[in-house]
Amino acid sequence: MAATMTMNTSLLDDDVCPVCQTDRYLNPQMKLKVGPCFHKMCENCIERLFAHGPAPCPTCRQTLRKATFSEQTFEDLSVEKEVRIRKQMSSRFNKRREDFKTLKDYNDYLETVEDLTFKLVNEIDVETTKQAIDRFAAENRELIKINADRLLNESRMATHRQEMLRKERQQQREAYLKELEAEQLAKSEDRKSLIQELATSDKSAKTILAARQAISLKKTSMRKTEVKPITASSVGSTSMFSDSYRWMQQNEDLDRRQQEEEEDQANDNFDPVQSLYMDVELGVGYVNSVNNNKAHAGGLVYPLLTSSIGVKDLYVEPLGVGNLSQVAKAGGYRNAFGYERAIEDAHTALYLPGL
Amino acid sequence: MLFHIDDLPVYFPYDRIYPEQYAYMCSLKQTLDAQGHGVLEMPSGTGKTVSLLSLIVSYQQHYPEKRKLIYCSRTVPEIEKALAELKRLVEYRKSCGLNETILGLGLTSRRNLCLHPSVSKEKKGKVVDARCHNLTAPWVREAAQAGQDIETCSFYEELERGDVRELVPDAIYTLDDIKELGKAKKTCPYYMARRLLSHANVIIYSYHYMLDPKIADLISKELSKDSIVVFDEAHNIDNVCIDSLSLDIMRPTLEASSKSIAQLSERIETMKQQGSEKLKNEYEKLVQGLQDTLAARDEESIMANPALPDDLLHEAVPGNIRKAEHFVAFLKRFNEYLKTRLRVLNVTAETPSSFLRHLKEITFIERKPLQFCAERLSLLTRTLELNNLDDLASLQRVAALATLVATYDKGFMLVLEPYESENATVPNPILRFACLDASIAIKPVFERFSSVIITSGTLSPLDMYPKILDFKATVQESYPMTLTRNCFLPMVITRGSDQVAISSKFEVRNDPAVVRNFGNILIEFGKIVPDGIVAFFPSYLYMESIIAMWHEMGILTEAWKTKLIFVETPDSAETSIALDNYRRACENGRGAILLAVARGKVSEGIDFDHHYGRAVVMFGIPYQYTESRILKARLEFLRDEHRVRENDFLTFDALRHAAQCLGRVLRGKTDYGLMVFADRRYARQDKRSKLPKWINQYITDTSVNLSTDMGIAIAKKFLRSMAQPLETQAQLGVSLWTLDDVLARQKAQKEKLERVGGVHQQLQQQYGAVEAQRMMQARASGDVYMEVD
Repeated sequence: MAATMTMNTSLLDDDVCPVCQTDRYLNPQMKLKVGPCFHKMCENCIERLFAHGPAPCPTCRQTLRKATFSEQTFEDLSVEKEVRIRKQMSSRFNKRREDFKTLKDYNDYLETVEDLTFKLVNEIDVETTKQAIDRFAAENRELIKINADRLLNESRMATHRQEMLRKERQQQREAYLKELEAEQLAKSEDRKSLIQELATSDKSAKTILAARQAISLKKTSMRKTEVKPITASSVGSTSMFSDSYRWMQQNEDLDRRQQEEEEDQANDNFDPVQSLYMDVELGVGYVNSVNNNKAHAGGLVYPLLTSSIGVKDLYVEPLGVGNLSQVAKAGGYRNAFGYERAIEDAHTALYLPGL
Repeated sequence: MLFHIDDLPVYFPYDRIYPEQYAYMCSLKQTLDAQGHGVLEMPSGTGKTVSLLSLIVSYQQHYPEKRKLIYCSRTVPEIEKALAELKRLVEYRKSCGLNETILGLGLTSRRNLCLHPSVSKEKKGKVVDARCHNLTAPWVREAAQAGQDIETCSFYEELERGDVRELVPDAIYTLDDIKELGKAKKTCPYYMARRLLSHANVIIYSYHYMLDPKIADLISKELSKDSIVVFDEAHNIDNVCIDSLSLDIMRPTLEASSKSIAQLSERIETMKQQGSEKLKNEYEKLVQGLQDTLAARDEESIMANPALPDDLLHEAVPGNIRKAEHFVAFLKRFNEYLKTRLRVLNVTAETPSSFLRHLKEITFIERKPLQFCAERLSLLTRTLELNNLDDLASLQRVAALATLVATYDKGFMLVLEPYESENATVPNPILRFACLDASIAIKPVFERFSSVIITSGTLSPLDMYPKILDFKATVQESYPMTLTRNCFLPMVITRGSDQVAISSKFEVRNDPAVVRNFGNILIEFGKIVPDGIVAFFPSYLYMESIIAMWHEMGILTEAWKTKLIFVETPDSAETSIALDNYRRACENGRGAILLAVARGKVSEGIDFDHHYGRAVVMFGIPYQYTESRILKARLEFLRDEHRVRENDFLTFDALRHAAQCLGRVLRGKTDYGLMVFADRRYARQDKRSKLPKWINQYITDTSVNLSTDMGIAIAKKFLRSMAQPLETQAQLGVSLWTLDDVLARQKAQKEKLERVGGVHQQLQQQYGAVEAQRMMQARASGDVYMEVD
């Protein structure tokens, strides 16, 4: 979990700032940072050296700025460097399995990327490598952009899912606790009434106890059979749905689109929810769209497979939409509800296996 | 004796049989006929092993399918016991004039079987494995055959020369036998046993060979599907399953694996400089997606994939770890990432998927290559022809973590604990990859084999195991114990002589009054019980604090007057010395007291039969440490997935251990002993109902709510009556059957069946054969469940 991840460098006891030779013993608060040339320096030294703008690194003479220093994540600086290079690489080389015809092609691609990265990391043929990378980036500009967007969407979806899962579990736990509490309450209540009965009734204590025993046995067996499914499915599914609803509301930019959509309704224009996917030539991919015109009929979504044809051309009107709209209205659907489901489905469609 | 169960002739190597043994065999046969799984609980010390073996061997030999028996037990002594029993059985069958060939053998680790003059001297199992590997790896042998001066193992070479089947005549081999045979033929007993597994009729080995995917893949892969798998002493099987998929990573592990990574890359460099073709070959094969051919000879591989066979990916290794140097860099990155995780100073718990996401964010490692990590590493070590694999152990762990975390999502949890214990100030971080779902590891076993039988002395409540292991049992049964005299007396002491309630509940466990009352129980029983007393505590920590308090109160000196006192410690060597001396003390003089811990070594697999244990005292209820994060996560998982309530599971777990401890005292029907439950909570119905039927059956209402002095009075009377000589004759017909009794019983059964059979025919006329069959089965299973209830 990124949020809870707090780097505590105090564990690295043998830290010494190579510039001022201060060590952890003298200055327990010392923080070492790493510049783009991968030389360490303590914060004080950075303040001192780069107070008046760019200055050369004391170790390698490369010109550096204060802002370029960042905290060290890895103990091993070579890994730190590698990861930074990978970060740059991953922003360009983001092709996916779906972008290739065969697994072998994909693996070959992965290997070339790895080769390039490896060269950069170990500083072999840096110039030619960089050229190759630029060439690739130029050739695949559009695909890179699409994949970047996809990635963004996916990560958003993943966060959302995680959040939903967490909430669901919490709900389950609460339900369980409530159940326990109710049971406890019933038990104590039972006890009270038993004592009451024993005190007031003129039946013998034995018969009263026996009757009680029978009742409580029945109850426990009832509980065993009954309670199970309640906590299992129904709580889970409703919470899933209501949660996703809430998420949609929180998700600002989607929300805004949704509002626009509602405003645009009168125009009868085609207005897909995710404009990102529209009118782009995709080799293989999904286009998720909601036809605004018919959407209020019940939130229908058509994941379409496009090659070079526009989304609009492929749109097929489903049968009986008019009737459906009647039904939907009778069912009390609000438009917004339909859109939410549409968006939800659009996102889940991303998780379909490659076609 | 020979008798028939239905049409099956059963050879039983003794003249007398216990009724519960007979009943047990009947249920077993039912299970095997139905090709289903079974859960059977049978009182300890009533000859479970022999009845199991004699029925299954008879079954196997009688039917043409000759289904193989795979008998899994827990410890080496138990395996040896079972092998000895099997040997006696087969000899008996021979003496009955049966002309059959049965090959049965046990398998254990190299450490126990090795004959090599220097390797066998090693003490640690891992070292023996690694050294054995150094001598027998294919490239080592190739080099030696090419005339290079490299040491190989003559025993292994001898085995390679001949055919195993010719070397070993059909018979039953105990572990010692196979070692002797190896000595005589100058061949390696370990590999001999391993190669014989696919030919053997009966295999006896440890759980791990079946459940731990790392080993099971190597050893148990080729066993046929219709084999009968038996897990004996299986009350802990869920923990074994969980352990086999869990991993702990600590700082030293990561440091060692860093070193190994450096070694690997060095080795790759030198190999490249030497212009070796091997790396290139490996690469080419990987490009073609042919890693399977590389792993063809898997007998030598001791680095197996930690994931279960069903979850393995059968496709080409991803492109970004195809080249050796890329893979090493990949490992390095992952390792460094783990290091940064271990620097965190607060407790974190996360799911594998969130771990993977963070990993990707920071190091750009994808899931796919991670999944292949373990496999790729074992390929690489093979290509690099690395020796001294024990140096690589840490790196293997890291790779195993990588594979597991990328393969499994549900039912697993990563927990980082920065401090060893709660009040430690020096951080010693530990990253635990914990499996929460016991059913994952055992699932392939249930799916692959048609009959799996889980049996033990303590499996109550029976429906818990099918739930937590997620399988359907065709037969689940618990047998009561038939006794001529009540030879064990369970009693629940709820308060001391001063009427203060005793309990190991957290709030009162260190209360001086409670501790004193616990002490008084020990002193008083020390006075009246002859020979040995074993006392169990819930944990080491609690035992230590109580012993210290007893010392201050003078209770130890008081107990000392009647018995010597021995203590179990976490150190196994120390404990075995204590046990040895305890036994000696029981054989001489006034006997001794052994203070032990539930879940400890003494509570599992060590018998206190006859005078070694005349009384067992369980101080408190051995609950697990409930603040442990992993336990909490597991409880939550059980609640959400299997609908097992937290309290139910905790009580179940505590009581199976309590029952296990107390069951130690009784090993057979001529034995006798006291079972003392010293905690007021045992008096409650929810606790008592979770004890095995055979113990529960003898807990009478008069003995559930005793004070110490009342308990002593009852115990005195019991011991006095038990000390009278016992005639075998008296047992006959009641708790011991001769052949006549068996036949009489069968006759009665038959008559009953005929009555039922009439019903069957009626049904058949009404509904047709298939439907009638089904209805009868429903009836029969209904009967079974009724009996369990």
